[in-house]
Order: sequence, then C-alpha cells, then structure tokens
Amino acid sequence: MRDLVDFQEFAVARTTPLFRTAWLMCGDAHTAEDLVQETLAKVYLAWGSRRIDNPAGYAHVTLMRTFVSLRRRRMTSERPIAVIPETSVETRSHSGDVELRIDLMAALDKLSAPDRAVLVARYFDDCTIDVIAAALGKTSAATRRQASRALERLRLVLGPDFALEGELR
Amino acid sequence: MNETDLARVMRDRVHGEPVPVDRIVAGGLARGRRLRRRRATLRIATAGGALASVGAAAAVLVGTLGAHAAPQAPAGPAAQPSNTPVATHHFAVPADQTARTLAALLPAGSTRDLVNQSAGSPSSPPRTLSVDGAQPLHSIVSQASAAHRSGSLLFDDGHGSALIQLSVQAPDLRRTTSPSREDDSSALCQQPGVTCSTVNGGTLITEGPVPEYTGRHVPHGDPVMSSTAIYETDGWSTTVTAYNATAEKDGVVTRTNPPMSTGQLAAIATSPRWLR
Repeated sequence: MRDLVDFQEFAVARTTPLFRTAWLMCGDAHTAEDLVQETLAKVYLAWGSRRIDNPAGYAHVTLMRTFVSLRRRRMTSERPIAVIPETSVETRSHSGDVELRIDLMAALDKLSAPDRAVLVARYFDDCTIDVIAAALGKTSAATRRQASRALERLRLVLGPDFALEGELR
Repeated sequence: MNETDLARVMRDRVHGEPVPVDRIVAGGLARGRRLRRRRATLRIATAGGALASVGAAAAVLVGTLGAHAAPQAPAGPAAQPSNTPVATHHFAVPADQTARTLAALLPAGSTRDLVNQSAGSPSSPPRTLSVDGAQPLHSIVSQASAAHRSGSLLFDDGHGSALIQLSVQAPDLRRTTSPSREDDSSALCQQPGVTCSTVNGGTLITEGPVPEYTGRHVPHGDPVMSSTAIYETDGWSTTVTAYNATAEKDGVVTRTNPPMSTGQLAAIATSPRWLR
C-alpha cells in the first residue's frame, strides 16, 4: 500500500513536465496523454519490484523509449493521403512568436521520432548528449551526429531565415 | 534563431497547454495495475509449468534409481513411491474448432458472428458456420500453434454486439526462474476487483467488470471487460474475456457491461471441451 501512495505522489508531481515533453514529441495533446499514461504504467510496474534511485530520470527515459517504440510500431498503421495539407511556410510572418511556434511544431512533425526525441530532450529538457545516448541505447558520438542531422533537417524545413546558429553544444 | 531561441519557443509552445493531471495519473495507474496483473498471471502460468517439469523429472529420476537399485534392495516390503507422476493436460479442442466450440458454449438463442480465430498463420479464407440453429457464423479459421489455441467472436444477445475472446495456453517450460506460484497468486488476488478460488486443484481467477483503459482518450467511450482464467496445477491455462465493445481497443462500445457475468465466463473456462 505504501508504494502505491508513494507512486501517486510521484506521478502527480511529474505528470506536468512529462506531459509537456510528450506534447512536443507527439505534436498533439491526446497522443501525449496516451504516451504519459503508458509511461506511468511502466514506471508503476517497476516501482514495487526494483530500486529506482532517480524516479524522475527513470520516467523521462521511459517516456523517450516508449515514444520511439510506439512511433516505430505505428508507422505501418499510418495512412497515406492524396493531398498534403497546406503548410504555413509560404505565408508565414517572421515578425511574431506565434507564427514561429506554429512553424516549429510543423517542422518537428516532419522529423522522425528519434530525431524529435533527441531535439526535445536536448533543447526542452536540457539533457546532455550522454544522457540522451544512454536513454536511446546509442553511443554519444552517434547521438551527437543524430542531433546534428536533426537540426539540419529542421533548418531545411524552417527555411534559411530560421537557420539555427552555432554548433551543437 | 539560435539554439536558445529553439529552447524558448519549445517552452512557450507547451507552457500554455492545460495538463489533465488527475486523468493522466488515474489512467497511468490503471494501466500499471493491469501490467502488474498480467505479469503476475504470466508468472503463475510459468511457475506451474516449472513445477510440472520438476515433478515429471523427479518421477523419472525415482523410476530410474528404483530400477538400478532393485538388485541390491533388501528383502522386505517394497517402499511406496513418494512421488506420483504429475498429470499433464493436452488440447481437447481441434486447432480449427476453437471459436466454433466457444460459440457453442455461449448462451443459446443469440446471434453470433465469428470474426476471428487466431494464433499463428496462415489463416484460411472466411467461411460460414452455424451452431445450434443460430444465425450463420462468418468465421476466419486459422491454424493454432503447438502451445496455443485461441478464438474470438462477436456475440450479440440483443443488447449490443460484444467481443468474446478465449485462449488456451500450454505451459511455457522454457522459463524456469519464477517466483513461487503461491506468492504470485496471493499478490494477484489482492488486486482490486480480482477474486480467486480453487477449482479442481487449479486456481480460478476472475475479474470484472472493470474499465480496460481507465482515463485513456477513447473516441467511443471506455471499453469495460470481464475476465476469468483457470490455471491448472501443471501450468496449462484457459482464459475467457468478454468486452462491452466490438474490440479490445479502438472498437465501438455497444453496451454498459459485457454480456456475460464472471460466473458464466468461469463455466466456459472450466469446460472439459478445452483440455483433457
């Protein structure tokens, strides 16, 4: 019973940051909610059976892995469409953050799941490359290359005016 | 835009979004409980299988030693064997008759529409069956594996079509490192909504009706399920699950509760039609 109370306290405290990370990865609230629930379920499964030194970090890693895994599985169920919806690239205004946010989300949506996971973890959650690499089961060098490529793809989608300056930290 | 801008835009984008914390936590906890139950259920089955293999090995060992020891045995009454061979079940239902047999055990006078009978591939082309004068059954009959039989069908008693699933599983003897059957069984039976009893030496576990995915965003409402599983002492198991919807996930919810009680499901799960 004690572990249930502890888990509920942990879940209430960590759901908001997990949801925000999930929202950026998934691109919509419903899928993000589903992803966070799946993550909490997996954390709860491990909660009573093993010692978790850093529950917040464990949940974050679980979220990333679950996202990449689910996206990989759902690739085959995505339906092709005849006409690609019009994007805001042609008509966007560079003056305001609202347009920038919309462009960014549209651009993120065009990246692969691992690319999005890496960028969100790196820039939103401020994770180090080593932490991301460990979460995704890759080497630091491979993760650094993936992050660089993901940034490059983001530049291509956003256009030259939104080119990201500087190298990957 | 530099990397700082990227981080800021990401934060700005999500910080205005409302977060349904209570709903997410409730849903995550419900799914977590379900994962724990499934893991415990699996352990019960595998532990039973391990016990069966140990028992069989012990019986063989006793027999072998007895044969070798016979010439040197002292005169006098023969010792009674302390180990008796563990009875091992076999499938009683033919591979292509699982769903049809399940349909025959459902309440009479209902419309049944077989939609699937799975476990392995390839599947045969759809064909029409009829059971007990009910309306024709449109079945997709497939092969079953050596360790598994399963059948699924849509059952309609006039109050809404509902998915009924049945699975018969042989023990998985490859997994031998499991906690004790008693420990797992008692942990599982302490879960909310779960009832356990002993039937013919096996453990009968019933659950439901409970929401399948509490708090999850489901377009047509939350599916509710009832389930009954009988775990034999030798590791074989039979599970029957009924839903209030046409599918376990992403189906249409057609009624408030599944069409059959856990008692009715238990009668199906413990039927001699599955194992001999």
